[in-house]
Amino acid sequence: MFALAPGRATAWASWLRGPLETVLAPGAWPLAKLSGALRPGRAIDMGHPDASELELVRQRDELELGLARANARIAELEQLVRDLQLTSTVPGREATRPVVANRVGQALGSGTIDVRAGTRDGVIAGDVATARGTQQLVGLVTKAGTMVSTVRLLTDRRIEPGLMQAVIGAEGMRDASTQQSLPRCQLRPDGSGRLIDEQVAAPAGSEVAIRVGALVRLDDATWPGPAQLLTLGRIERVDAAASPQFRKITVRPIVDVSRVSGVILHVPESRGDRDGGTP
Amino acid sequence: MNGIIFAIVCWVMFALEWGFRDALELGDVDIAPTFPVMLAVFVALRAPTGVAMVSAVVIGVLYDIVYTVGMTGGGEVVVLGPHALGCMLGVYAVVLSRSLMYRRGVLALVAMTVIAAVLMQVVVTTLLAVRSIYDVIEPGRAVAQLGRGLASALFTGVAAVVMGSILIALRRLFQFQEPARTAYRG
Repeated sequence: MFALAPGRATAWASWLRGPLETVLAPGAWPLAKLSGALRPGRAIDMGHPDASELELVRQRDELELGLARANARIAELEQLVRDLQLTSTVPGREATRPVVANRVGQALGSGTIDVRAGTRDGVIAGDVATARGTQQLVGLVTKAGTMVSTVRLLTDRRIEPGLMQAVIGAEGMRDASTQQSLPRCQLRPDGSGRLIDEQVAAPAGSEVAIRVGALVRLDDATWPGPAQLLTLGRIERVDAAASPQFRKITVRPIVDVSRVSGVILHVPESRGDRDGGTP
Repeated sequence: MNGIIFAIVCWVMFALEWGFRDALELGDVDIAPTFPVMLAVFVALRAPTGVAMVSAVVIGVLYDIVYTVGMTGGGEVVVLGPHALGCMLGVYAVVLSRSLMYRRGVLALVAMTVIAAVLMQVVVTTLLAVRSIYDVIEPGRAVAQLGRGLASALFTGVAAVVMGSILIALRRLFQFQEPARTAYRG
């Protein structure tokens, strides 16, 4: 009866998942860690760099993200000045605090992973998850239990918002004007762990930016603020589109988001540690 | 049957299913063994019919709660029933056919695990596909789901060689009520 009853009639069943996750998490977490050790996620081949090189890469990525956000902020403030002249306002970007969450399980058939952080840590649905040690966007929290949250992977077709406006060649974000002039694309998950855009406008000279290996960052107002300018991946393939004015690009996340051992959840600082209460 | 031992082994099976499944996944195609089914079949081969069916319902409902289904427009939902019904059907098939085989060996467990897992996957795929016609759930293309499910069922059988051996080694802890031996059977 429950199996075929409409969702409205069986919505209460979702409440059962939280307690069950709480019971299973202590057993699943070490197994997930062992699983991660036995089968680590893919990463883009960087020529087997040593630990110090990886640390430098991480710091560079962080600084690039900071620079990109500063540029975006400059552009936003410039727009604010213009808008204030027209007596309108633009919402600001909220500061976040990181919540480290180990992966405790996955339902890859559902395109989700489960991580060990929940409403008691201030996590709610809609929060942004990134991979540890990188600025790689992993996905969005779609359900937050007391101790365990479910993260919908950005490579899953069912993620909402399903389209991702992004800037290509984000390494070149040296100043706000350059950032504004970078080519843009509209990516969507293709169901095989990659993101694609079949019609990227490619005017003459854009091949410098639209090339294999170019970094792609999210820049989409329909996504939460903390997700802005996070890395979506690197261009893996550039193919000709139906029209010579366009290109088809395939973007692959720089880490295998389905096999991350843990994530960083970006929780707005204005939100408290428990059930969205006051800080 | 000792309920506490069943609960502990059930917890371990679901922890394996939740935390360790992707280590055994074939490629990136979501084909991996289904551990709780092995326990359901193990119980079904030894316990009285009533106990076997109740344990199938418990395992199936827990599986339904762990296995969320995506919704159109984002989010996940727990759909109670498909795995419970599928597990019950699979266990019932085991109960019906267990008298025809030497059920104490691991081979019987492996064969019955494949059959039970196939039946469960067919029921789950069918029910979710039917429900997706009028509800907001999005379980994915039924044919692809069924293909993955059947491949996972075969993989479950392979994994049951190892897991079944462990379960058989632990059989005394379960304290199954073995049927009384008749004079004829010796």
